Amino acid sequence: MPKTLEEINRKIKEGNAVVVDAEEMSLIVEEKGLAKAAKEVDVVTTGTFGAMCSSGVFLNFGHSEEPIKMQRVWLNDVEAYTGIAAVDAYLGATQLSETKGFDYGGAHVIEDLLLGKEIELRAVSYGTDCYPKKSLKTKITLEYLNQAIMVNPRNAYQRYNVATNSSDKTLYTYMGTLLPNFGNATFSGAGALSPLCNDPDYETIGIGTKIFLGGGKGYVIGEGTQHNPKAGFGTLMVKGNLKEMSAEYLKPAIFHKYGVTLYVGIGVPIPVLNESIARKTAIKDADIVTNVLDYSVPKRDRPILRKVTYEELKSGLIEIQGKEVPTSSLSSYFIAKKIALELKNWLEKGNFLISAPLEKLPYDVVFKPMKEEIMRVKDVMLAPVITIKGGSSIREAANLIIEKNIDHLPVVSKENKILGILTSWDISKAVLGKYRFVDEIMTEKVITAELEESVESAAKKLQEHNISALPVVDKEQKVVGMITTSALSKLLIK
Amino acid sequence: MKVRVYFPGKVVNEPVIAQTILESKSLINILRATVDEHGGDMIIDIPEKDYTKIVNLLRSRGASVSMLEKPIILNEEKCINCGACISICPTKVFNYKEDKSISVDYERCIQCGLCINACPHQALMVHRKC
Repeated sequence: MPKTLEEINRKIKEGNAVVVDAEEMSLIVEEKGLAKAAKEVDVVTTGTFGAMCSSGVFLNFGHSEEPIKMQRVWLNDVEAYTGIAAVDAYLGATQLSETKGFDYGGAHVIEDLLLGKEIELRAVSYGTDCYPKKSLKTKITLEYLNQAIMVNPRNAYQRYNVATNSSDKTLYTYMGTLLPNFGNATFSGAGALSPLCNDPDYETIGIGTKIFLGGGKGYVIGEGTQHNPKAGFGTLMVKGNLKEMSAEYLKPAIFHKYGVTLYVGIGVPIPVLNESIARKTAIKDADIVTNVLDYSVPKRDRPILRKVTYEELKSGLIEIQGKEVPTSSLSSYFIAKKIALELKNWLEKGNFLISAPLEKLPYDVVFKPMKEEIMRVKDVMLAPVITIKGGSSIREAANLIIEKNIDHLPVVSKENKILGILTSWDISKAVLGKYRFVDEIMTEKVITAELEESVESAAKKLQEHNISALPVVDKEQKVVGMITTSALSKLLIK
Repeated sequence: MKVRVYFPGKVVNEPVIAQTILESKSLINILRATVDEHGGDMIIDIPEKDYTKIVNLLRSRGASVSMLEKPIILNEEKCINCGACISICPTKVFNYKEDKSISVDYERCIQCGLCINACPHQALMVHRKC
């Protein structure tokens, strides 16, 4: 028997609504069955607490005695965007301090505001007839601001990719420190407690949904940027009054050698209107699948190493290419659970009603890559390319190098697949030793470029490995061209 | 048990650890060491029963020694219990408790320092005293 939102809200007001968190809900459904769970439970609360870079606050400072139209504005040396009205600004969480760099950023200013600390406000302007003042320096606190409205363009990712690193160097990323040779893997999101995982078809979460935001109440104001529902990567845009929030649920963070971000606490109540919604809120970590990506590949589409569930991630160990890799969460399940319980508490006390969405979140959008014109390896490579078959004599190789006037000679199999590479230096070296075949002297670990790779990326490889040529291979590792430093420098002169 | 040993520059050229091993006949395991012309800084693992003997031998050769009781300090005010420290640690010092808050197994720490920068909330500090 389906329930209406009015019925549920009436029960909340009367103080007898049955509210459980998403973790409990999966146990209840398991124990009592779907029909009974749907009948008994009125609301399921969710929670998440993780790094959400796309966050910030709209501030209104009020007018100075001699008015100023702020052209640029800084709060504790962190610049806020003021390409809007005279004394309005948007302070982004990830903006870095101009004096303290990675040690202090927009997220820290937000925390200091919440803690009631004084913030130094500086502004400059070109001066107009109506706003004559050209510079300003004062101290403000949250209390003195007319408005401090948190508006976060992208929060509460439904799930997120897992990051690992196949290279031999430590990487410092927004997914934390990634140790070399698959030394660790990091993930984010609260799994089965995450808001959007419990309403994947956006039946109850939409524009106007009232939520827990940073310890105060907030609203979903639409889909977040990069919202990608079909891939299971939905996001939310949210707003709330910073003045009602708490430093406990908004925490600045520093990712070493990457930058500053803000941990945002979000909780969304899901009304159990019918059995279908009850079934979705009973989701478990084992049901939520995500991708393990190799962050050492500096490309937009990083290779997916494997699929993995949040249950496996939370076990602390996953297998990647035969290696046992320890996993770490970057978001806090401990606080996510606290948020779900706090929201449950609000609902049980009857001072938080559930709002019906005014409009559904879009399901029919895709997250497109950037439109840009880039030069790709296939556009500039030298082809056809002169190669030599494995098993050939060194003499043949020497002949080819002289005859064709080349410096690099890829060694290939019968199927034209790359086996190694020879340079004229290798040949000279061979003269001093007792070698006969190319296979004995070639370099076997060949650095190659791919057809679709950007020329910039190929140039970086040349520089990084201090080499002067890269064989270009297709998907089957067949040699189809060559990229050389001399060909690249000609491109620049053209 | 783990012990932190510091050598001043003047004894860097002497085989202090080797002599201590020979004389104490104790199995000393070097967990971490940085040595240059200014001195040395080491974390060693020693059998508990030989503690006094080893410490006396090391001190007699000009090294200073201290027990590593709380090698790492977790600031509970700053920690949000995310778990970023868990997978970065080579000796499995950090773990989740039942309630998903972080537990610290101080015994295991070798003060490598990897977790210090990996903590997004600057909640970890290496304890240094000598």
